[in-house]
Amino acid sequence: MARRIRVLLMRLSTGYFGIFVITAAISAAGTLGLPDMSLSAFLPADLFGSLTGDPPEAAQYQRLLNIVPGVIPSPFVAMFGIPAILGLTLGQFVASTTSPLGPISLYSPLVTLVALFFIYLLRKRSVILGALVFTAVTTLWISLSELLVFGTQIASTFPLAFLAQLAPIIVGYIAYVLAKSSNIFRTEAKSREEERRILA
Amino acid sequence: MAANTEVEASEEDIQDASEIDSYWPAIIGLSAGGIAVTGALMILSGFSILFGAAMGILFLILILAFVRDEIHKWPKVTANSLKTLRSGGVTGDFHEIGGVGFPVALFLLTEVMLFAGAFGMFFYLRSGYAVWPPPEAPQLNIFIPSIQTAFLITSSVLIEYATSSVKRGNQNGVKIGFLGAVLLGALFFAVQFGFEWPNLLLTGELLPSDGLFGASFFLLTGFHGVHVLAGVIANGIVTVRAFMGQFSEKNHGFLESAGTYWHFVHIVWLFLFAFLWQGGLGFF
Repeated sequence: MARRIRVLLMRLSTGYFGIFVITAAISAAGTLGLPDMSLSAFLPADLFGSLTGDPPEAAQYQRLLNIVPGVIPSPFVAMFGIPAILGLTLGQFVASTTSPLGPISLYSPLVTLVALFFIYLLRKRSVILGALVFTAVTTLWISLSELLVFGTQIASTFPLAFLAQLAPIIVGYIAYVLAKSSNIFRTEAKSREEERRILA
Repeated sequence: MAANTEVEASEEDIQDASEIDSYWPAIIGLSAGGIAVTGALMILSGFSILFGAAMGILFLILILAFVRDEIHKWPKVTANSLKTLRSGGVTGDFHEIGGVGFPVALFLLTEVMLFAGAFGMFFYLRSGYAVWPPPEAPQLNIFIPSIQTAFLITSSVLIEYATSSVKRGNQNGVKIGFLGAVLLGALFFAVQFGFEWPNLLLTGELLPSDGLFGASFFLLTGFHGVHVLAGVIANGIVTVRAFMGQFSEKNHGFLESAGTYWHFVHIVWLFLFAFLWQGGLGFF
């Protein structure tokens, strides 16, 4: 019992709560607060569409290529662990409440949760591999949602959504590598390790 | 001197402990509460203002009689508290006060319930509308809340920096972190109540009397704004104490508690941003 209470106190540490809130806020605000940035301006309108013969409508095309800055912090899951996973999932939930896809988008946080765990589980092997799996899983869900809501074939939406998801992930990965190499969060992680050791 | 005070307090505690085994405080408290509620009901239901007022006076007399013996201790308690603050706060083991313990968690739970009630009311009333936001509601500009969100994110990061700094004994980091958080919190408050509210009210773009949307907008943002003010005050106290050098690696419980409260205020804002400015869950 005492052990459980100690674990509870550790979990309620402001460090964990802070990471949870900050990642949730960046994820939600990155999606809700920033103006739409679409890759469509840089890509030809019939890209990938000719491959399947089922090109998306112009508005859908533009939406699929919208960059979501809210996923930029995803690679940082490898550094901050479970609190960041939960925070990004909550941020995804808040962002999903305003999705044009409707109620089906409320399942997106669950997909995000699972996808983020891939980054977490693969963090010791390869963070970039985990980030790519994250991108693939979330893109697959986006394509499936588009199929269910608009009836557009997955083959034509997947490549577009993948590009839009990959761009912020690359930015996030670069930021992660820079943060890791500069040891900017080392002391915080060290403090949490010390806290964990004392509570054990 | 501080150690003597602690010893005296312990002896007092032992003396007080012998007086704890009594049901009377609970009986008097519950009876007084019952009398007060009865009096209030008498007045509110229009049964009798005279009887209701009499009940109220009886309640005050009971409370005064009950706390009469305690009042003379208040100056001493206040002086001891101020002395503790001036001398650098309470010391203790890292794992006992460094993390945010059960009392803060319980307090935050009450806050969660408070906002859950407010949002519940909002969604319940909203469910009566076929379309949300209602067609007559103005399209609110998201630029201002986006800026406010940036203030909150930055302030949360600064608080994390301060918390990390105090664990490493970096006093300057604590000062900078909390001072920055206070300034950003004050800016958030100033933008909300010094710019956005007056702008909406004076131009008539949105008024509290403009149906459910207007009423819930001002109620929820006002409610949250009061919590922001409380957070700014709490963080301000932490900042003052940080400049007095009252926090250390093993003594920063209040700092973490204030920081956690601020994070909570921040997370509530995310929901407000989505539901009020962006019409979140409007597809239901």
